[in-house]
Amino acid sequence: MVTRAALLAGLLAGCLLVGLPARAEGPVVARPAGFDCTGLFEAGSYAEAAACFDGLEDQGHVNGHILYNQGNSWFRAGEMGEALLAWRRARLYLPRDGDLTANIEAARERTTDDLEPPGRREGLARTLLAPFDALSDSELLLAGSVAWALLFLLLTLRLRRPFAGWPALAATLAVIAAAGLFGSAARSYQVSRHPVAVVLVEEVTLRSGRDVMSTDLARLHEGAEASVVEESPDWVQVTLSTGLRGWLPAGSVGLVRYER
Amino acid sequence: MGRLLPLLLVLVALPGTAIAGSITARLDRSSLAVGESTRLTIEVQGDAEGAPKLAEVEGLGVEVVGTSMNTRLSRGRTSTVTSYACRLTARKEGTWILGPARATIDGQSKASESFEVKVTPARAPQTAASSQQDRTSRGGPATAPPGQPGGDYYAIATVSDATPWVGQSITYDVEVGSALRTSGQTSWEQPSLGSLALEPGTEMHQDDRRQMIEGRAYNVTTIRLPIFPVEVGQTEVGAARFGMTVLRQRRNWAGINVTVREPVAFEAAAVPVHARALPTRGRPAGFQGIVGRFSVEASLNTDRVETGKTATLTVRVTGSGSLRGKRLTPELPPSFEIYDEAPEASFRVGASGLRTEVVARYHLLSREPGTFEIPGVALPHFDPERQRYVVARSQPVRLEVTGAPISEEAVVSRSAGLVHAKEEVEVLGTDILPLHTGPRMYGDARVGFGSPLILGLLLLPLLGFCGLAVRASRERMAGTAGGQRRQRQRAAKRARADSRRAATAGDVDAAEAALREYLTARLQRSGAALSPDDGPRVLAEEGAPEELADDLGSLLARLEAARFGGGETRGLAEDIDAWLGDAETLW
Repeated sequence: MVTRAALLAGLLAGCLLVGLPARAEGPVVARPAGFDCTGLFEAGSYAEAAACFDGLEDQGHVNGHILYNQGNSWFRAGEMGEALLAWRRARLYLPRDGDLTANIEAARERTTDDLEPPGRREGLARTLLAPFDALSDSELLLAGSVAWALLFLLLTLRLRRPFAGWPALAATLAVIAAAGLFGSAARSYQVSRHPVAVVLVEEVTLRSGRDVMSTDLARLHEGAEASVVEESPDWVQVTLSTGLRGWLPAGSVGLVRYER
Repeated sequence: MGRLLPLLLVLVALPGTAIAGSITARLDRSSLAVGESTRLTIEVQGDAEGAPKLAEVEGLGVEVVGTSMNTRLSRGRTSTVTSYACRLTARKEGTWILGPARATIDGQSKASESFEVKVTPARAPQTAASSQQDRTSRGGPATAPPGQPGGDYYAIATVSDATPWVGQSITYDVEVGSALRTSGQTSWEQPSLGSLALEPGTEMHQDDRRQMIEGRAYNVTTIRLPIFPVEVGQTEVGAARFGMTVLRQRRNWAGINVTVREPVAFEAAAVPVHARALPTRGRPAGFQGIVGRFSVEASLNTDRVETGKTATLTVRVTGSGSLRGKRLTPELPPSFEIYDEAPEASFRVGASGLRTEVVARYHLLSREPGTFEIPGVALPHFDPERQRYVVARSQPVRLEVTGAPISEEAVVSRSAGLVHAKEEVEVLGTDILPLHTGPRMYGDARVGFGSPLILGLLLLPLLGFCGLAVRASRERMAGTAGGQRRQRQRAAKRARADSRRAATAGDVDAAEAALREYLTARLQRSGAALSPDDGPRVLAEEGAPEELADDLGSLLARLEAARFGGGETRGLAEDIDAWLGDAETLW
């Protein structure tokens, strides 16, 4: 009986692995009725197109392409902060998309504040963490899970019939599984607890405390990016790339997260 | 300019006790050639009524090019010093007396010292180089005061040659100095150039330095623009306007010195230029209007080449002045083809004017073999220093061409790739990339640890592996005493469970099977063959209580009777289950 259960589990895992490539790209479904967002964009109704893409997200179509198009619509509508926010959210799903990278750079050239974007790695860290940075959270999780499944399939095979070279293969799969699963968990933690904040209003004052009477530290403009350190209901504490830390009104910034 | 030089000023009278008034004048040079200029500085200290006046001199022209005012407060006494920067131009040969400058200061008529100015015959045409030499000979900008000593700020504009030839490259120099601290950048408005034009391909040259003038430290900036006259006749470089924010120390109402930002605007006066026509006499053939002083060098990258292959002739033109895109064409024997690249031009705007270096490369290809002498490359131009036309020519070069003659078609085919002058791409703007379209836009790309896919991948292989591992472990354990003991315990438990079901159903056969299975598991021998006589004995040997052994004998006897003698079976299944319960407890 135990043997039969194990074989069934292996069969199911195999089926999942076969269906994985389609899953990694996201399910392909038809366009929902009443959402001709691209048509609105092409007609020049950019704000309406952005709202339409927003509606698609509400309908559960949460993916990098929708957010990319939303960013394009905001950009054309002249909302640089909203555009950068949408594009940075899109990057969580499409970290290797060349169009997205180009558009983000184009938007940054148009922002007022000379700030380095948060999370930009330099030197050795950039090289070492390139595979991590090149994969989205979902891709890391899928890669880790597949490696995990393959690892236990390998161990199961080895129980039935040991073969040469299995320890090296098992170790490789274990490393990939650990890197993928822990990487995904770490990314999710980072995005949920310390997201990037994008200034959405034309100008906002960075203050030393959660109080409009506290000292003015800096003046930030639309599209400025900063790392969130702490959140409270009405205020967000951020750190600029210059090292300056202060509080911004929560309503003046958008946070780069998976969920809005 | 009138008979008397009116210098229109606005003087500001400041409260407090004024220091006694005075007027002083300084002249940078007392010897000039006709057409040359020098600087005259007049300083008025005190509250003057109107502008100072200077009697006109026949052979000299004076014009104000800038004014500045400086107010000092010392020990409760104020002093106002107004400086007038003037350009003195020699007009006529002779020895002339300039001055004194006069002004009414604090109600008293004051006069400055006078100067004797010697004007010599003209040294025209004056070139940028000679003009610079003159400045250097009198001490140069590093030692000669560049503006109005004592003034807070000033701007003076000059040209390197006020009477250039048409097409001659000259420089427009404007010197801006400030003795006050400033905030931010000094802005300037480029002057109108009249019938002069900026040298194409060149950039403005700027030099910043700190300089002591009359014991006062100035931040001095010199801006130099290379220009050239386009048309013959009188024109001017317009006034250059400057703006900056100076920081002044002022005493506030509480008597404390505070720094005050004061925006100031001032200008350097317009500079007249008279462009002379190039002479028609002696103009060489092929003259393209180039004015300056140039030398030409030519070299080949090889002295031997095969027919149909190319040798590169490099022509380097250096000198003062500008070619302004004019190209040189080497003269070649008829069997040669020539393919040229876009020339590389570099300019340097220095104190001596515009220096030019142009490097042109020509790829030469011969269809016929032989030894050829390529004549020197000629550059006819007008030399403003010598005031005549000159043809600068490179030395001829010799090229040996080997191999068989080739047809013209083959040459064209082979050399098509040589005509390849690349240009830098001019970026006109940036824009975002287009929308993403297609079915990939729709759907949810979010995958989490709670997704069925991920749960399946994480749990199913793990469970499968664990199941197989447990089974393999049991198989391994079956051969050991401990393993067998655990097997027997499990068998006894199964038998006990079977007996309960049999008792509930009243199934004697099932109850007997469960009993014998239990005995097999506990006694390490087959329970199927135990007779009513053997059973109690074996149980006693295994350490079971005597009463339990006797009950087993009784049960086995009842089962035997039921099977073979038609004995009573009622309650037998329940009794078997009860015995198994006692055995679990007592044994």
